[in-house]
Amino acid sequence: MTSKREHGAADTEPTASESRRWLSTPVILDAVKRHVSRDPGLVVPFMVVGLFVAFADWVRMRDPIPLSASDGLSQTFSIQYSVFPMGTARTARRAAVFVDLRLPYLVGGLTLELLAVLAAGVAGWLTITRALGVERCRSSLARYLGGMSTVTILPWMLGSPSIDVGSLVLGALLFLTFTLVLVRVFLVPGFLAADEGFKVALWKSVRASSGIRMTLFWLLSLFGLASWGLAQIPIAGGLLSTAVVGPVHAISLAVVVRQTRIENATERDG
Amino acid sequence: MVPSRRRFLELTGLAVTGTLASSVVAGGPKSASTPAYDWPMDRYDPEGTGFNPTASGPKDGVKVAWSHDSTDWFRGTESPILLGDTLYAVGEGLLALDAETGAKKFGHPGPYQSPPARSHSSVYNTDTLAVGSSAGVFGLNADGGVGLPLTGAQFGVERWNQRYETGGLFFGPAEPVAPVVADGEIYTPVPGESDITALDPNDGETRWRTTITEDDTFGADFNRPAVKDGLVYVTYWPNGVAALHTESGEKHWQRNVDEQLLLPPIATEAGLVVPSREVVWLLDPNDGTTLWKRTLDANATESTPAVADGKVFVTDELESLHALDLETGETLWTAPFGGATAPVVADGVVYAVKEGYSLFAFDAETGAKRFEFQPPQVPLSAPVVGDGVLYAVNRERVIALEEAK
Repeated sequence: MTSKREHGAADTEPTASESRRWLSTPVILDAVKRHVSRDPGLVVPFMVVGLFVAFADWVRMRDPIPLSASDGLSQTFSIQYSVFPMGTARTARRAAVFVDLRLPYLVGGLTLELLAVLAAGVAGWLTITRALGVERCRSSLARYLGGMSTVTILPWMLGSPSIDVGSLVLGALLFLTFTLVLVRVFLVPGFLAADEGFKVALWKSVRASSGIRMTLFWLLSLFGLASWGLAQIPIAGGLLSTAVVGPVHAISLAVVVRQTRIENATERDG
Repeated sequence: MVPSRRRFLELTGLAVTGTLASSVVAGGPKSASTPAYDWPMDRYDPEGTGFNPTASGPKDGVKVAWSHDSTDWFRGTESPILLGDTLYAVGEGLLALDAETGAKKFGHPGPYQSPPARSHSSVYNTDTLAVGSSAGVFGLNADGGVGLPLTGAQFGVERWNQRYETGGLFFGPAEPVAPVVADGEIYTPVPGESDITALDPNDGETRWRTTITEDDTFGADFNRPAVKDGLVYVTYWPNGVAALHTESGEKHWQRNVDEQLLLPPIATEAGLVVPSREVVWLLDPNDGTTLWKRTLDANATESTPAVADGKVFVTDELESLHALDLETGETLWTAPFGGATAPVVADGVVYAVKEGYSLFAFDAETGAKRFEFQPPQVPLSAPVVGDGVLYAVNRERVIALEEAK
């Protein structure tokens, strides 16, 4: 059996054959920490996006277009699940408020919303590809942005898919179903950044999540909770949520995707 | 290829430019002219007179010109408003009808309860309707937004909402009060609280919020405000009257009168008309002092007077409708009319719906009864007057009444 160490990982990281055991949440977060220690530039893209998110919050608070608080911020407790790495802004705009807006407001308002999504997409792609150490190409960026736009802009236009459930049991059931699906698609952004096509990325994400579903579930929940919690901080919430959760999420994806690739290579070699 | 930093900055610059352009245009006009037959809010105008000097309704009898009853979710009791060729009615949603035919233009179910008030918006191409509920105030697209194919639903109707965490009144949720729009601002009581607030029609943001009574645990139970010449006038439980500056919300004056159960005030050139259970006052709008006080043999607890051509039309809710001289408070005429009502006036005719089941028309000069009309359903809302037509909400339907031939 080939004992192949993850490129750039710490010496203590286990071999591919031990992957299912060692890919626990603390280990992944520890790997993220080591990545950032070795290459602090990994946090720069989401730091810049965090500043933009804070700027967008500031603009939304001051311009005359109707505003709403971010979905989760009005709740006493919320987990802001996101498949693609991003933070939670303190303010938001429903797509409905753009209907019949005068042209300058329409252009200004839509540009701000689209730029916020685009910036988070580019930052996620930059961070994942840098952490993976793969070659950057236009096709992977396009696919990454395409995927991100689909899961963020479409629900935004159609209305936020939030469900208020009165029953605790029903709520828990819906929560579990929802998170099971999310766990299966958790790695899609990582594979898209690694220049896989949509179908392949989805298939690989579903396959790679086998055996580590609990790990991914805890990661998702942790990121969602941290994203919501940090966004609660007045004024700087959007910046902190994006600048902290964004890079950790993106590098975590890179860690798992890289390990999956190592496993696959090992299987092929073996 | 990696996107260049320059490209990113270009895109960011575009967003900033667009947003700044928005801010520049935000200083645009705040009001526009009102077509002659428009009835843009509850009680017609910010002053709350219930009198449209340019409209004219049926005079000698009415028949139903059209009836709209095909919107299944609609249940209304509040007066509609009329804007151009569109009639808006609220009742478990907003319903927009063609005023000429009664054909439905759009409908949008929602928690809306009060009559809407039209406000012009400097950021939207279409007007915004401010609608009250026991939970807060909503800003709705008067054009209905975009109709979604096959579903019959509308996208983009609700522009903003200003919801309040309220404790409600002693006996339950606060009754929604119709918002008043004047000089490009929305004025409304905060449901269940002791505050009056001014909202920006563009985004519903609070311009100011003033607490009227500090020691009221269950809210002040405000009536519809009246706005005139830079002042917002409010009456509230049990016997308070206050005037606030429209610009800042700062109190101009505040006083208690010696009678409880005050009804909605009406701001006029002669002074502020303040009705109560047994008494009608005319107060000096500048300092709240009494100009005249008229005691009636009355038990008025749910009515709202109208003011037109120097007369105050007020019911005693026992057996009469009175016309009082606005300058002196003296009785000009009294007509038989037993029950609560919120009369409206147009072209020399007073239209008054008695207890929500029967529409009366009186000659405004003499008090002579001109006609009576009873619809098959109850309740019937107070009507609004258009071009020869009365419009009213009648439980599950909206009706137009024209002159009977």
